[in-house]
Amino acid sequence: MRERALLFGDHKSLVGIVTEPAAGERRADRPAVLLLNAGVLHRAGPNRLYVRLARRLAAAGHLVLRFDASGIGDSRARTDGMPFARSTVREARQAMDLLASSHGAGRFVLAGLCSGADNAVRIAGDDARVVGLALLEPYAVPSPGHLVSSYRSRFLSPRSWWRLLSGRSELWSALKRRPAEPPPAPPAEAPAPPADAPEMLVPSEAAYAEQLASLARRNLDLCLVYSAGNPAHYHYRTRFRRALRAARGQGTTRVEVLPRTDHAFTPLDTQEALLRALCDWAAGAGRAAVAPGEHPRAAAAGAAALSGGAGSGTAARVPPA
Amino acid sequence: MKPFFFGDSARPLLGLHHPPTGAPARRWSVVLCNPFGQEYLRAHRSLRELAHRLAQGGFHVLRFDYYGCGDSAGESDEGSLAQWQADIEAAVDEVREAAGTPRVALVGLRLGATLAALVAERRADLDHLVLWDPILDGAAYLRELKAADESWLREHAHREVARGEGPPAEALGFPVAAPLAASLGGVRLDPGRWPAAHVLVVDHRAYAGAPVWVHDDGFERALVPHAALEAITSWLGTACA
Repeated sequence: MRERALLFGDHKSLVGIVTEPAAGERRADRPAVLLLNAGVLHRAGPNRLYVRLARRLAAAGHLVLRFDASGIGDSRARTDGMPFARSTVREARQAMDLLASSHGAGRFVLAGLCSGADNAVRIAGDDARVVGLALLEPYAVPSPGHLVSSYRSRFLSPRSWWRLLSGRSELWSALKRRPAEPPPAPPAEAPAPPADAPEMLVPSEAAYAEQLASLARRNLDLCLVYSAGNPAHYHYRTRFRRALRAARGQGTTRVEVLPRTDHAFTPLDTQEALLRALCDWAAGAGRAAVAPGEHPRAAAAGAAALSGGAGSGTAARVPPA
Repeated sequence: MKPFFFGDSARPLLGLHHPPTGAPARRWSVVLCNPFGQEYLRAHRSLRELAHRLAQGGFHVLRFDYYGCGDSAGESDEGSLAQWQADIEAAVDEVREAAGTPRVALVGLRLGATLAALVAERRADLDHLVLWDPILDGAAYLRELKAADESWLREHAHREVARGEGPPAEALGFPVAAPLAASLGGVRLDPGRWPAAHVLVVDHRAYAGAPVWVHDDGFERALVPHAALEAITSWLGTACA
C-alpha cells in the first residue's frame, strides 16, 4: 500500500490522495474507488473514515482516490461561478480521468456519506464509467428541504460539537488572572453565507427513486447504508425497493441499517462494521455493469481469471451494451 | 499550496506547504500544530484559512498531520504525545529546509498548542509561540472528552454508555489508546511560565464576534473565527519581522 498526494483539476487546485495497492496486488476485477466529501468535512472523512476505508480497499486490491471538491477541505474554491451541482460532476470526472491516465482505471465505484452520497448519484448519472455506488446516509427526508438540513447539520456542522467541547473544565481561570498579550481585537463581521441554499438540490422522493432506478437499469451495483436513527431507510423500504425491482437491472442492491449509531457513524464499533460491509460489498461490485470501451466478455474473462472464475456466471448474463 | 508526504518513508506524514503569496517574503516559516480527533476535523477550515492569511503576509506555512491522524500514515490508535512532538520537530526541520528560512514559529490549537509548548520547552530555537485555546490540564481534557462522548452517544446513537472509571477508550469517533490517555493525564501547563520568550495566548472567549475556533452558520456553510485569525496574523507579522 502506498499513498501519493497530488493536485488536479482545471486549475490544478484540487487536493487528492491516491492509495495504491502494493506492487502486484492490484486486482483488475476490482473497480477503482472515489471517496466523495461528506458535507463540509475534508477528504479524511468523518472520524477519519475515508482514510481507513481507502487503505483497507487498497489492501484488497482496489485503487482509491479521496479528494476535496472545490471549496471544501484544502481545494480552492472555483472562481468561474459554476454551480455546485455541476462542478461536483465535472471534478469527479476529472478524478476518474486522472486514474484512467495514471493507472488505466476504467471502472469506478463512488462512495460518499451524506452530501457525498447525493453527489455520487448525480455523478453516476453523468458518467458511464461508474459501475457501483456506496451511498452512506443518502437523502433523509427528500421533500421538505429544511428537515434534511436540520437532521444532517446536527452531525456534520462544527458548532454542534463545540457545544460539547467548550473547554469549560480547564484552567482558564488561571489565565484570566494573568491577562497575557494583547487586548482582544474588535470583532469582525462574518461574511454573508452563499446565496444558493443546498436544500434546493434535494430531489423529491419520486425523482430520487427514479434516479436510482435509472442507475439500476445500467446494471450498477448499489450499497445503501443507513444509521437506524435516519428516517430515510423507510423510504428505501417503501418506494425505492419497488423502483429498483421494476428496473430489472442485473446489478445487486445491498441495504445495511446499522443499529445504535448516528449519521456520522461515530462509535468505533459501528465504524468497524461499516468498513467491513463496504469492503465486502466493493470486492464484488461492478460485475454486471459494463463500462464504455469494455467488451462484456473480455471484462468478464479478465475478472474470472483473477477471481478464480467467480465472476463468470454473473458476466454471462450481461446483455450487450 | 502544495500537498506532499515527508519524513520517514516507512511512516510518511502529510504536509501542506503554503508558500508566501504576498510580498515581501519573510525569513520566517510558521508550522501549524493541529488539535486532536474531532476537534481537528472541525478546526480544519479555520487552520486552512489561517495558513492562507499568513502566506499572504509573507510567511512560508506548513500544515501537517501527526502520525495516525488525518492523511498521515498510521492507525488512529497509534499516536502518542511523544510521537506527535517528534512529528512537530520533523515538520520544523522540513519547512526550514524546504523554504530556506532560518527561523520558525509555531502556532498550535487546543492539544496542538500544548504539544507546541512541550516542544518549545526543549528547543531554544523555537522561541515564538502562538497558543490558541491550549489544553492546560490533560486530565481535565480527558474527563471532558469522556463526558462529551457519552453525551453524544446518548443523544444521537441511543446508547446508554457505562464506561466506568478512568479515561475514555474512545472519544467522539476517535480511539484514545491507553498509552495516549496515560501521557495526556499527566500534562499540566503552567500559564505563568510559558516555555518561550515570545508567546501569544489566544482565548476564544476574548473575541466576541467569533467566540469559537470553529464556527458555522448552517449546513455546508462553515465560517471561520475571523477576529482570532486576525489577532494571530497581526501578532506574528510584528513579532517575526
